[in-house]
Amino acid sequence: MIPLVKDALVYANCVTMMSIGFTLVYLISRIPNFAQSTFAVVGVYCTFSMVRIFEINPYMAMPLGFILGALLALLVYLGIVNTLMKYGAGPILLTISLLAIQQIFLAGVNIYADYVRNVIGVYSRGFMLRANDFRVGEYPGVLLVSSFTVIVVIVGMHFMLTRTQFGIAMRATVENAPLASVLGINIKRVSIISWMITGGLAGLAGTFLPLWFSSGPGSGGMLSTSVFAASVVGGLTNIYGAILGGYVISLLEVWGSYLLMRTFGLWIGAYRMLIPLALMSIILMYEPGGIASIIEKLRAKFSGSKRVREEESI
Amino acid sequence: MIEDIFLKWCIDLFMFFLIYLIVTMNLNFMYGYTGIPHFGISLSVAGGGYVTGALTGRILRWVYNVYPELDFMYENSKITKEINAHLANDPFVGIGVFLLIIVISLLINAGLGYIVSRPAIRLSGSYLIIVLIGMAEAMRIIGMNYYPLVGGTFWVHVPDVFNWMGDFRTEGFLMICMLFTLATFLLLQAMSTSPLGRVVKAVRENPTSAECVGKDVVGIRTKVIVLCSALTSIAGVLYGFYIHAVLSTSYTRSAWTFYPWLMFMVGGIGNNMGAVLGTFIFTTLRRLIIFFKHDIEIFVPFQVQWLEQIMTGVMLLLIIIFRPRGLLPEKPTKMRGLDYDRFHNELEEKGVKVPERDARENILQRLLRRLKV
Repeated sequence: MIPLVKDALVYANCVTMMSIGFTLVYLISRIPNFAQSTFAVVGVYCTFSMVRIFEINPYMAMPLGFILGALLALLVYLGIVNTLMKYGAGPILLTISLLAIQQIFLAGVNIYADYVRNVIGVYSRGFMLRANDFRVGEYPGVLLVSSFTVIVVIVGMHFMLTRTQFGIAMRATVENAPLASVLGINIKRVSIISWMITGGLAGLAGTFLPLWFSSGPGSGGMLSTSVFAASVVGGLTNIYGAILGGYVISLLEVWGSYLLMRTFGLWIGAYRMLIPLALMSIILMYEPGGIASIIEKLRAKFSGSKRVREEESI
Repeated sequence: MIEDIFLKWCIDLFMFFLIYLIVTMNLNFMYGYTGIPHFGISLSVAGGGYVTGALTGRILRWVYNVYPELDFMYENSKITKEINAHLANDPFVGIGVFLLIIVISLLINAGLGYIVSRPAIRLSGSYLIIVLIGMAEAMRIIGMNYYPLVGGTFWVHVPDVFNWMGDFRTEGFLMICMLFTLATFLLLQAMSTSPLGRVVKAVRENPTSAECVGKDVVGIRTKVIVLCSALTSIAGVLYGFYIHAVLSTSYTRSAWTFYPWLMFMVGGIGNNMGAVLGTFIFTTLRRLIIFFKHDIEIFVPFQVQWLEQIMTGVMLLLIIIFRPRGLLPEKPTKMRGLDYDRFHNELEEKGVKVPERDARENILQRLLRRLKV
């Protein structure tokens, strides 16, 4: 397997896990969750602590990252988002408050990194833990574990959304929250669980990052543009769109930048982040509904039926 | 000695107040008046900075023909030193180049504002926010990686175009900044009390009904973004000339997007006096923290910067929760020549229910009302 595929797949797995969460929160609360990338940074430092401080297997960080991310998301939802919604704050105020939360959490992580460096004496920024990973033949462990995790997450999400009562309650809340609450669905519980899933997935995605990429407090920012782009390209209205968008964007980003580097020289690699941004802009200009609405239109066209799903008001 | 330090601190504070005020007022016009959530305002500041860093030195080198054989970026200090010696007794070129840079920056940033607003200006809220945040980040990435622009992650010196002022230089530049800020303030104030101000408020309150009465909502939004991006870039230019350098890493999201947002949220959304008040409170606080940084640093095992970020974040959350409309809430725009009491009475006689004005006033508002601000 050529290294480029490994690179792209590990990255795509992380981005997809986060874009699923981003879309989920957007569907439930109608706000872009800018604090999400910080949950990933928390995951990054879970792995770091496991390897460098406690010196045990890096994969022990997975449950810890998931739980910490979920708890932080719970804190954010109950402490800020729910409180503000009760006071009648609109989406813009909520977005600003999420930016504030992002700044607070990031500062917290930075304090932890400083503390580790100054008190414990371990270098804590810009680390890469590839050497601590296991290998199966020519495949690095992180590739296998992250792919397996993504498959489990996707199958689990699909099963939850289509087979369980909770998933149906969730879909009802997304379609029409007031109506759902009239039918006896506890919207607050649905929101809390969605936020926790989001935080947990972001934390989980973060635990894989340092095993393949150079990481630090800035890793969240590195991922966030791709995650926004993936969610927007996926349509922001559909979990399956987010999965597709995650893979499309991150594979195009990694391979596109590789092709550009081969054509124009290595210097262009620094502008890699502009690829998802450009793709997102193009999609928004020509098809704001993203992949989800493209597929919907194609299906309507080929099945010959007149029924096109009503455009989501955006 | 102490007085000297205090005076310097005051001038520094005032400088930052003026520079941030330009950003805050423009942001306030975009969000407070027109309802465009511009979360990429650091883009325009960086745009102004990049124009300053990339062009000032090059233009002046061409004017004075200083070391034409050297590479501009690698020998930056040497070239700038020579240019500064020339500028020390050449006021006309200095002022000319300064004004030229301002004009170029206005034009380039108007164009940039148009480009970044294109993808999502038709869509509302979240999409626009996501795109603008992404664009601001892209601007920073370009500045940090394209070496000939402003020296990548190093910096580029900005020649001191006011070098001819001699000892009076700091105060002189302060006055020039004051002029620019005052001009921006007056322009935005005039715009917000003019018919345009009422149109943009209509666009903010209900785009659909504004469109129904024949207003081009997308056009107005685009115009406001273009104008405010251009005006905001003045802050970037002044900042570059103030610190005599342009540093691509300094245009971060927290410094030039988050703090201006915080400032006008504290002061009051949708009124320019609120922006002034918020900016004043917040810059004072920040300068104080920076001044006492080293005294705090002894007690904690990490950098004080993070503590500052946590503090400002918590402050914003508290403001949003307890005073979502800021210290000075927005008031209805008054039209000149309209007797409001008579208007009020006539409406009541006709049986139209007029909503009561917000009866509660806080101390500051009362003070400002007494002072007839």
